[in-house]
Amino acid sequence: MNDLVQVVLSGLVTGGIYALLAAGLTLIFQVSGVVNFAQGALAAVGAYTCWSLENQHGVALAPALAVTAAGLFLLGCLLQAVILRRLGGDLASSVIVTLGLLIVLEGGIGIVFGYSPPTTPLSLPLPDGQFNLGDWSLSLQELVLAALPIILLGALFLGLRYTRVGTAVRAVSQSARGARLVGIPVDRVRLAAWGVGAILAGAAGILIPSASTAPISPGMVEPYLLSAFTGAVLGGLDSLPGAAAGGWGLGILQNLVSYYTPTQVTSWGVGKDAVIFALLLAVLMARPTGIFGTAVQRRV
Amino acid sequence: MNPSPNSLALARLGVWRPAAVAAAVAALACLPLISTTSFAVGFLDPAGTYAILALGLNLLIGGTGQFSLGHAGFFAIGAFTAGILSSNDAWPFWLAIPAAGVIAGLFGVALGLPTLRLIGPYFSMATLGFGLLVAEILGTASWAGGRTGITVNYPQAGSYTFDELSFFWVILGAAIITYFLVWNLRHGATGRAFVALRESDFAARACGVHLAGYRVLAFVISAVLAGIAGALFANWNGFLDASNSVTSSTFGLPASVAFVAMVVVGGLDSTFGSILGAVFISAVQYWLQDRPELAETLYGACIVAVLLWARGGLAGLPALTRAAWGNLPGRVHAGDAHG
Amino acid sequence: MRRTKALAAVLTLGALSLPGVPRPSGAEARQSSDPGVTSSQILVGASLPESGPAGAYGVIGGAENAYFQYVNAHGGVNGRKLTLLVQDDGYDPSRTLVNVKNLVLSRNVFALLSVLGTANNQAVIPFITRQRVPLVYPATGSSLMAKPFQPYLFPIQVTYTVEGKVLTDYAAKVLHAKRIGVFYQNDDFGGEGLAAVTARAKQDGVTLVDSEPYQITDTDLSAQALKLKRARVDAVIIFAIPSPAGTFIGTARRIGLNAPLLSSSVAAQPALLQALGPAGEGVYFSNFAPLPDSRLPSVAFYREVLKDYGTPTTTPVGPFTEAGVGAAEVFVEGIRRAGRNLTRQGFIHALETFRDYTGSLYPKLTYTASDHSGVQGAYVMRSHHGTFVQVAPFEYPS
Repeated sequence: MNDLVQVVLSGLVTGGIYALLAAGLTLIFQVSGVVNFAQGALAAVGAYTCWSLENQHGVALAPALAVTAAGLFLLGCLLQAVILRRLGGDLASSVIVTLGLLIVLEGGIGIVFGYSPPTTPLSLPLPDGQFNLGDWSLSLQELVLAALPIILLGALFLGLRYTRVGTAVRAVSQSARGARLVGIPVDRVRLAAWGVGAILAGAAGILIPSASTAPISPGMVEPYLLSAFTGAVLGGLDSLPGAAAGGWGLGILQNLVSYYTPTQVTSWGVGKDAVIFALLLAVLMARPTGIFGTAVQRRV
Repeated sequence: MNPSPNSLALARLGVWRPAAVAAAVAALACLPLISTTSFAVGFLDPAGTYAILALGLNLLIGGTGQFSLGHAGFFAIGAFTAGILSSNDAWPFWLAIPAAGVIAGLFGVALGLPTLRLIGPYFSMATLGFGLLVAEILGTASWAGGRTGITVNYPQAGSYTFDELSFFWVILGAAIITYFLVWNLRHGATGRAFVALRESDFAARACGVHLAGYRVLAFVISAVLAGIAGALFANWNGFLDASNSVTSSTFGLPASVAFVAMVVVGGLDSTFGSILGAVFISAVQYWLQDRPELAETLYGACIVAVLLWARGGLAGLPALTRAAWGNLPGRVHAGDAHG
Repeated sequence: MRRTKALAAVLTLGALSLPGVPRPSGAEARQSSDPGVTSSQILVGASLPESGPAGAYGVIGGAENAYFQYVNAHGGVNGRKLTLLVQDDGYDPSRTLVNVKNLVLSRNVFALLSVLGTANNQAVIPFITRQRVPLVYPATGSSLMAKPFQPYLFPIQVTYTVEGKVLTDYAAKVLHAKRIGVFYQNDDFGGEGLAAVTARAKQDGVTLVDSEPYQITDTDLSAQALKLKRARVDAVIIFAIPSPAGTFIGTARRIGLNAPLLSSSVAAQPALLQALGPAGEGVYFSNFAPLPDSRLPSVAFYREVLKDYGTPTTTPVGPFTEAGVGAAEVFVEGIRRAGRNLTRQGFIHALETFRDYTGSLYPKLTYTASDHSGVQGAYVMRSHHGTFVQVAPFEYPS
C-alpha cells in the first residue's frame, strides 16, 4: 500500500509541474485564443533567469524569484503585444508563430548560457527527512514539491474568482465581444493573461530541477511539455481547473502505467510515452474539448 | 482563385514558359556533375527530398488551411518502410519507395478520417500527437532497428549503383513529377475545392463541395508525398535511427516544425513557394551546420517574420516588393487591385 | 512564374556562393597524399553532443582542443600544428552521420577524434570504413567498437561489459550484496551493461532480482525505483547517462531505496553530484582513468593544460574533460610516431605500435594489428562531498 501512495505522490510532483504548464497554456488559450507552444521555452527562461541571478550575480533566493516573476510577466506581455496581437485572430498562424518563438527562445538561452548544463544547480531550500504516518514514510521534499503547485494554482483560482481582474479575465474568455461591450479593456486583459501565463511557466521551470534532481539545460522542459499539453487537452482547453486537473491526473496516470506495465511490453515500443500520445490522439478525436470542457458541437 | 500578380506574370510568359522550365531542369541536372558528395548530402539531396514533402504539405496547409504538426511521422513511416524493405527483404529502391508512399498513405487515411471534425489548434495537436507516437514507436521497437538503427545500402538499378551524388537525379525526377502533379491538382477543380474549403467550409458545402472527401484527400496526398520523401531520405542518408524521437531533428518535433516552416516561409498560396521554402530551409541548415541550434533559431525567426510581415512568403516577395515600390510617393499604378 | 523562377535561381546561386559552401572539387593544396595534412597543419574532426539530452559531454571537445593548443604552443607535432573541428550532433545519430560525412568529404579532415554515443558511432562505422578514415576514441563503452575487429576504430573507453563485471564484483564481494538490481537505459548501451551484470552475477553467486529500463524522455523514474525497492535489492547497478542517472539517484533516496548505488563511468559528472546535494553522497562509480585530483604527474599535467588553455566553465575539471585530454594525448602520440611523412595508413600503423603505452592519462594502452581493444579494466570510486575518492584498486576482470 505504501508503494501505491508513493507512486501517487511522485505522480503528484510531476503532475504539479504539468498542471502549472497546463494552466498557463489554458489561460492564454482562453483569453487570446492561441495555443502557446512556447510555454516550455518560457519555463526554461524562468529557470535560467533565476539561476543566473542566484549564481552569477549573488542575489538571494526571494528577490531572485521576485525579479524572475516580474521579468517573465514583462516578457509575456511583450510577446503578446508585439507579435501575437498583430496576427489578429488567425488561429493557425498563431500556432506556428508560437512554435517559431519556442525555437528562438530556446536557441537564445543556448547562445547566452551555452548548452552544457552549468555545474552549479538551481536548488530550492527544501527540507530533508521523512514524514512518517503509520505505515507510510514519505519524503518531505516530495511533499513540499507536490504542495507548491497546489498552493500557486489555488491562489490563481481564488484570484480569478474573487478579484475584479479575475472576473474580467473570465469575462474575456467567455466572450471578448461581450466583455468589450461592458467596458472591460480586453487588450489589457490579454496582456495580463500572457504575463501571468509566463509566470506560471516560470514556476514550473524553477521546480523542475528540484523535482528531477538534475542540472538545468535549455531543453530541460521539453519532456514535460508534451505531457502538459496532453493533460491540458484531456482536462479541457477551455476550463482552467479542468486543464490543471488533467495535468495532475496525467502525472499520476503515467506513474501508475509505468509501475504496473511489465518490462517485456516496453521493448515492443509500447512505453509510457506511446500510451500518452495514443491517449492524446484518442481524446482529441473523441472529445476535443476534453473531459471538463464545454462540448462544442461543430458539425462537419 | 484570385489570380495573384505572379500568375498574371505567368500568363504573359506564354511561349517562353516551357523553354524556361527545360533550361532550369537541365541546369539542376548538371549539379551532381560539379558538386562534392558532401554538398550533395548536406544540401542537394535534402533540398530535393524536402521539396517533395513540402509540396504535399502545402496542399494540406495552404490548400485547406489545416496545420499539421506531425508530418515527420509520415516521413518516418516512409523512411522506415523503405529501410526495412530494402535491408531485410532486399526490395529494389524503385519498388520500396512507392511501397513506402502507399503505406504512409494508408496511415494518412487512418489518421485523416478521425480528425475530420477537428479544427485549428485541435487538429494541430492531434497530428502532433500522431507524429510523436510514430517517432516513439520507431525509436524503441526492435523490429525498427531499436536503438541500433537500420543501415540502408546504396540503391541499385540493375548493375548501376547510385551514390549520394547520382541519386540526386532520382530525387530531381521525383520532385519534377510531383511538382507538376501537385500544380495540376491545385489549379484544377480539386484545387478550387480545397481553396473553397479553406475560405469557408460552410459556403463550400452550400455549393456542393464534399467537405469530408476533399479534406481527407488533401491529408492522404500529403501523407503519401511525405512517405515518399522519407523513403528517398532512407536511400541517400543510408542510416535510420529514430531514438531521441522527441528532440530528433530528423523525425521528431523539430523536423515537423521545419516542414511547416518550409511551407510557410515559401508561401502558403504558391506551389512553387513550397520548393523555394524547402530550398531555403535546407540552405539555412547547410550553411549553419556547424551551429545547428543557430539554424533552428534562425528559421524560427523566419517563421515569425514571414507571418508578421510577408504573408506570401518567398514566393510572394516579388509582389510584395512591387507593392512596396508602388507605395512610394509619386508612383501611379493602374490596375493594382489588391497588390 | 518567370520572376519566381529567377528568384529561385538567384537564391540557389546565392547559396552556392555563400562562404563555407564547397566549390566543385578541384585540386586542393595538399602536401601529402592524404587530405587534411599540409606542410604546417593537420585538420582533425569530431562529432559530439553539445546540445540536447547528452549536452553534458560537450566539454570533451573543449578539453581535446585545449590539449591541441598546448601541443601547438610547444612546436606542434613533427613541425605541424593541429586544428580540431568539432560539430554538434545533439546525440542524434542521424546528425552524427551528416556531420561525419561533412567533416570527411567537405572539410577534408585527416582523421577523426571522438564521436560520442553507441548508436552514433554505429551510424558512422560503415561510412568511415568505406572512406578509410581512422577514428580515435569512439566515445562509447560498447564492445561492438572492437569486436568484431574494426580496422579504422581505436576505442579507448573501457567497455560496458568490463564495467558491469567490475561493479558486480564490487557489489558482491565488498558490499556483500546478495540481491542485485539494475537500472538501465533502454538501448544497446544499457542493454550491454545489463547482460554483463546478469552473467557476472551468476558467476559471483548472487542473484539479479530485478532490472528496470528507462527512456531518455522519461521525466519521472519513481516507478522504476519503487519496483527495485519492492524487489528488496541490496545494491543497484546503474547504466544511465548523467541526467536520468541523477534523477534516479535522487528519486531512490527520496522513496527510501537506501541500497548502495553503483554506476557506470558515463554518469560520473561533478555537476550531477552538485545537483543531487546530500543524496549524491556515497554513490559508487566505475572509472578507468585516474581521479581528476590525483597526484599522479599525468593528472597534474592535465590540470595544468586545462588551466592554461581552457576555462572553468567550458572545460571543468572532471572525468569528461579527462577523457578528452587523454584521447587527444593518444591521438598526438600516434601522429608523432607516424613521422613527418604523414598518411592515414601510416597513422594507423603507428597507433598499432602501442604496447602498454602509459604516456597519456590512461592506464596501459595496447593496440595491435588485429586487436584494437581499449582499456580493459576499471576501478571503483565513491562520491564524497562533491568529488570522487578511489575505494578499490584497478582490476582487469577475466
